[in-house]
Amino acid sequence: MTSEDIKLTEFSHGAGCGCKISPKLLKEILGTKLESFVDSNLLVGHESSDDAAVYDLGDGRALISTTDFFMPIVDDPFDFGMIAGSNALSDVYAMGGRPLMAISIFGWPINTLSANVGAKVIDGGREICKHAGITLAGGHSIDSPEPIFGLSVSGIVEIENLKRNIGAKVNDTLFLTKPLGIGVLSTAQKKKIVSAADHATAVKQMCSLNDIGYKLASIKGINAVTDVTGFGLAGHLLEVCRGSNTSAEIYFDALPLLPNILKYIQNDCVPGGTLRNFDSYGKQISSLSDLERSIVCDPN
Amino acid sequence: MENRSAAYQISKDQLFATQTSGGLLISVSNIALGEFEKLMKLNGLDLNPIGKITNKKIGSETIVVK
Repeated sequence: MTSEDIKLTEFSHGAGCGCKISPKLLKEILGTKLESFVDSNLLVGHESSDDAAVYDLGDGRALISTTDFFMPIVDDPFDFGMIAGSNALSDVYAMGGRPLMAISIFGWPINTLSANVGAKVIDGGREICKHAGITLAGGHSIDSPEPIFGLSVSGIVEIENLKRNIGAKVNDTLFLTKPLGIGVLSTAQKKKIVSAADHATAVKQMCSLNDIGYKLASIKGINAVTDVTGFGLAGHLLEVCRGSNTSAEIYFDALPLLPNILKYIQNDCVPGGTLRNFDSYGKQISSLSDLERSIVCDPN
Repeated sequence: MENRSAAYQISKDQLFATQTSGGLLISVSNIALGEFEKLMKLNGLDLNPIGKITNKKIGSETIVVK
């Protein structure tokens, strides 16, 4: 089999951020009775479910540390590497920082997928790091039943420019920088019914860096920033509200959507993560009593 | 209520859907709006507001969809 024939998504049970463990289950896993070590230099830990950990370096700057990895969301190995890398880098930008270097996390089913295909995944990772102006400086690899790729990224931020997922204030206006619908298009790819043009749009969007987060960080009055990934728009907005002690309104008609989403939803291309997220926090969102469960929840 | 538009149902679905390598959700105060929108345009991002932050509602849903 040549690498062109390989369909990476056939080797994974989940796709991209759809591999994420549900907020409900994660709470159980991360809950501990152990007394934790307290470091006053740690500005952001895991308590507020923020995008990355942030450590005060003592000179007005802070180190940002984050990792993100998942199973293939696209069939092409190079694209998968780019997307997983872009997704991991996003956590640094979402804190208002810029990345310094990245380390790869790589799992490969060495008995079923050739090293040559794996090399293309890593190359995709290198390429997206180049776009971000950093080096893929090392990593760790294991033999695993499913392909896994992602990055651990270190970044830096001026503390006065640090953007958190808490700190939103009443009457703030909410913006979203990329249209929604990636989960639907990637499910359509898995079902082999996505058009080449729609697929290309999805890949391009997933590979595009969220470096606007760094560019906007010096603007005073940007009260909160977070990236929208595994938990969906509502899930990540809930984290903002929880941490900021506020509520929020969403304007349905204004939500940006990728093209042709309707067509794929009508063909049952609803990603499994949608149901998982709905079960986790659906009751905290209004107006969902008339929700068509078949549309929201059931891909079959 | 059953005849809500398809677009409405899709938007609902997309509230919960996983967004791999999704965009940034940004909460902008009124004083920063001008500078923010200028920077977005400069970077080729044509964005519309998708919502706003409101007072915490005790005993009801955190996010109200309009």
